[in-house]
Amino acid sequence: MTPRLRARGVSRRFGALVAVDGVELDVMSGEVHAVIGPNGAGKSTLLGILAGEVRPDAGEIFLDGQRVTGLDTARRARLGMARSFQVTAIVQDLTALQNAMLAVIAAERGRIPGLGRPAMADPTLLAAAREALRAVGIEGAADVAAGSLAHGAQRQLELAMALVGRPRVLLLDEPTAGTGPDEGRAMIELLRRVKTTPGGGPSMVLVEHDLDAVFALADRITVMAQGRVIACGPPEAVRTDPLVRAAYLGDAHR
Amino acid sequence: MDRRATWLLALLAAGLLPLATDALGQPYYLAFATRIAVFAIAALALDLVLGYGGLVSLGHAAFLGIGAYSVGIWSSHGVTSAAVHWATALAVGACYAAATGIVALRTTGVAFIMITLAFGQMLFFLAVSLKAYGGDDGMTLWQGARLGPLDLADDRTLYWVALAWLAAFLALGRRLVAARFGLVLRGAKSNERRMRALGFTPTRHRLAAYVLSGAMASIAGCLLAHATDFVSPSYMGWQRSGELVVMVVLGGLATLHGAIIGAAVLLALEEALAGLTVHWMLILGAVLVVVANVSRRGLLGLGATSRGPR
Repeated sequence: MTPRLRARGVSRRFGALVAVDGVELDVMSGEVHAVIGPNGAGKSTLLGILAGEVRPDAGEIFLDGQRVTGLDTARRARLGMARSFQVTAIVQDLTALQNAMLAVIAAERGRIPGLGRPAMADPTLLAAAREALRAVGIEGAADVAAGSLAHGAQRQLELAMALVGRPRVLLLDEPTAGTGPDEGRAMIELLRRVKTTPGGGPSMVLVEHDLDAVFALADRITVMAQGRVIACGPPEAVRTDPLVRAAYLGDAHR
Repeated sequence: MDRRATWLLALLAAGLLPLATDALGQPYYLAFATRIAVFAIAALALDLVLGYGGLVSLGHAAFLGIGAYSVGIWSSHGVTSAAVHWATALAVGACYAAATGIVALRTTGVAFIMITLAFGQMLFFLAVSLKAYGGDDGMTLWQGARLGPLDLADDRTLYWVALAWLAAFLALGRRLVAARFGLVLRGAKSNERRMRALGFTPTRHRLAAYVLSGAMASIAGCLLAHATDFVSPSYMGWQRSGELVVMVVLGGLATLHGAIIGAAVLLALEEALAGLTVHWMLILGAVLVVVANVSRRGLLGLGATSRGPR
């Protein structure tokens, strides 16, 4: 079976630092694939390469067997790659509903956003946006400026926007980062629901520091250290891997 | 006072103005109102890219120049049809906006300001070099423009025509920013990274807004030439571009009608203060500093706070 998302020998250096070094990654359809590792392991750079924000110096990225290495973020997004960022990226000065509307507009492919009727008076657009907010449980905050939402709700909004249009791949950069314990648990629960979407959820690449979240969600885990993959396998195997323990313990002892 | 009442009142005032200036025997004020309408069009056009797109164009006076020279050059060859002048200005303005926009929109922030300024100055010096059309001194238009039966050399006719253009562009602009297009433009202004991750290519939307804005401002340039019967490179100096930015910021960004208010207030202040002292710029500067400090949303912001939260 062709992996949904595949990275082949991707490398990227920043000056003398090799951030990502010959990484191989296969994400199967519907799989939640966590990428963990100590700080500076190259996880976020890898996610950037997968999303098209960071150009790799070497290697190729394939989406369902199609080479997407040369495509920019917007083109990959249109092919069904959605993402959340480590620092929540939403449109702060628009309302939550308007943010969701933007995601719906983005998913209306081929349509030229010309004059037409006012967006705020378009029942189809409004209904789709409300539905997106409902899916993550923040429909009550529809008319609140996104920047005024609680941090957890901002993360949920970002996820809601990513989920519009049923992406094939969801790239998540530390979805529980900066959230309180309750918000973190709510986010994990939400991602579990996304994973079990009827008809098949998106494949997810989950970069995460919170190992509780990782072990609660991941089907497979790839462990990175100093830009390289040092282990990859199901959670149980990775948990007991001596190399992984060394990498994490080494980090903790520094 | 609700919104609708405010609009009706504004419309009524604009409609009664010619009667008032007649009654007072002060035709000068009608010409002055035309001037306000002309600059309101240019400021409104600028607000589309500056307010909604977050793009500080310091070269918008170039479009005034394109419009004015469209009138001037045709008139000097005996073509007095305003329809021809306007069509030329719209086409040239849109093409100039597209060509310069493709280059300028590769950048944002300070670099965008510098590039639009540079293009504006290039056009300024091009106009200076047009010896056949007055060069540095500009040229007087001896024949007034006509639109079918309408004689635009008549102050009152020109006032109505300018007002009609302003109303049409205001309606078009409001429609545009309320549509999906406007939402995408505002999203890209606030968080380009998110917009790209959603699959948008915001540069396209910005270019469309820039071209439309340029075409609108070019019409303002035509009307300016009709109103003054004169065309010169001074119409497109970078100081003029700066004035347009001040009008938009003074009135209130990203509102469209704020740009109209800004244009009216700035021109009225210039007029009133210049009558008092030759150092009127000093007083104007102080006023701008106060407004900018008291309200981040310009004069409209002042009104909103005094009325309480809406």
